[in-house]
Amino acid sequence: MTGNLPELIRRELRDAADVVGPLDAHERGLRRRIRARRRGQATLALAAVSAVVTLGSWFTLSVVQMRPEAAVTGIPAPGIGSASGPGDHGRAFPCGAAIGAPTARLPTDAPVQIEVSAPQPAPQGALEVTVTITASRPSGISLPLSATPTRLLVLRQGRIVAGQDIDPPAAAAPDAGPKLDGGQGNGEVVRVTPNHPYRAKVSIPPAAVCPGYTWSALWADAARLDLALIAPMGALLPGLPATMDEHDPDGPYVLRQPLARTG
Amino acid sequence: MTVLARERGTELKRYGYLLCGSEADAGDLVQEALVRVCAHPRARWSPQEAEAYVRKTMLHFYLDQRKRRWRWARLSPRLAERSPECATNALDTRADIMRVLREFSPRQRACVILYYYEDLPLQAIGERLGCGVGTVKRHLDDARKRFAKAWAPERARTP
Repeated sequence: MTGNLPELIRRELRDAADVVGPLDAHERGLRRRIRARRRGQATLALAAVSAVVTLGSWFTLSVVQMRPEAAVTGIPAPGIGSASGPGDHGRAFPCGAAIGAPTARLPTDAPVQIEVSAPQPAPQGALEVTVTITASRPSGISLPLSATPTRLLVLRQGRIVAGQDIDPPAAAAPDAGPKLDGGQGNGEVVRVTPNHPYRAKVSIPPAAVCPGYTWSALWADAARLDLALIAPMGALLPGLPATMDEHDPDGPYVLRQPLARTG
Repeated sequence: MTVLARERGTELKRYGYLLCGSEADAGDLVQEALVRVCAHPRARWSPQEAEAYVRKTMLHFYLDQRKRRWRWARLSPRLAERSPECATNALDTRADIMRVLREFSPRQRACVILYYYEDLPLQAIGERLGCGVGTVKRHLDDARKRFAKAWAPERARTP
């Protein structure tokens, strides 16, 4: 039987298939199904193309925002290493935000003057400055400086590249947020006399550097960078009205100087 | 499509019947394959090429369907019913070979049909099913044994 088995299988298969009736296919129905299938495929292809274009645009935007140039072109990069939450002044200082000319100045003949020293390297490559408040006659200032919402920013072409708002969890870390020390007392108004100027160190935490930049790169490029001190004049120097910029009378920006300035 | 359905429709349905084991399913299989193939028409397709492509599509659609049904049957044993191909074919002697075919796995059944009905060489069967020649040979050998076992008593009765 084994020798005939393949032939037997062939014959049985043919016999089984032969009893099948003709194909009952309605041409119109088939054409309708073909059209519907083509439409479905076209819709799917369109949806896929739309999805790809959307994803591509999103990806391109993300890449542009992550590029270092984005920081100087003013495109904020939310969620990419820099927080966009409001700062201590109710203002936000995200990466790339423009900071214009100083909006508040003390009159040159004011009895109290603020100076910022040349920046010094701080731990982990960050920088710190010493803020000195001098008085030509005994004056009252709000101390310590850490009790006032004072910020130090590094600017490149007028836009923030370091010292920006950082994420709340990072801000809660011990080394986050602007470090201010050197104060005596706690938010109280103390007197500064000509013989006893007030000095406080203000630093930028190492983590507060915008994406695309590093502290070493910033230090290497110091000649093209500026330093800005943001401090509320009214809180810092009660009773000493500062000269406000008429375009931004609420601006807390008080000082700007080249980063490479030698002290 | 019209020419293919009109001139080769019956032959395609026979092939589908051997795969599915049911006339109704075979008709559906042919129509589904025709729709799939004609939805992507090529510029210059000879009738032979089109038919070969339809047959290939039928085979793949059948295997996919079996796989889906098998998964579904595994997932919901209570809901799983016997598929139409398992329904008893109460007709004549062809019930014999169809009954034996039903006991095969879908791929094994496809091997048998492609080899004994379509007369494809082992290599071509392996390529079409995406398996090696050795696997095809094993399926065919196993099938032959089952056929021999199934037909032995009947053949013994036959003078």
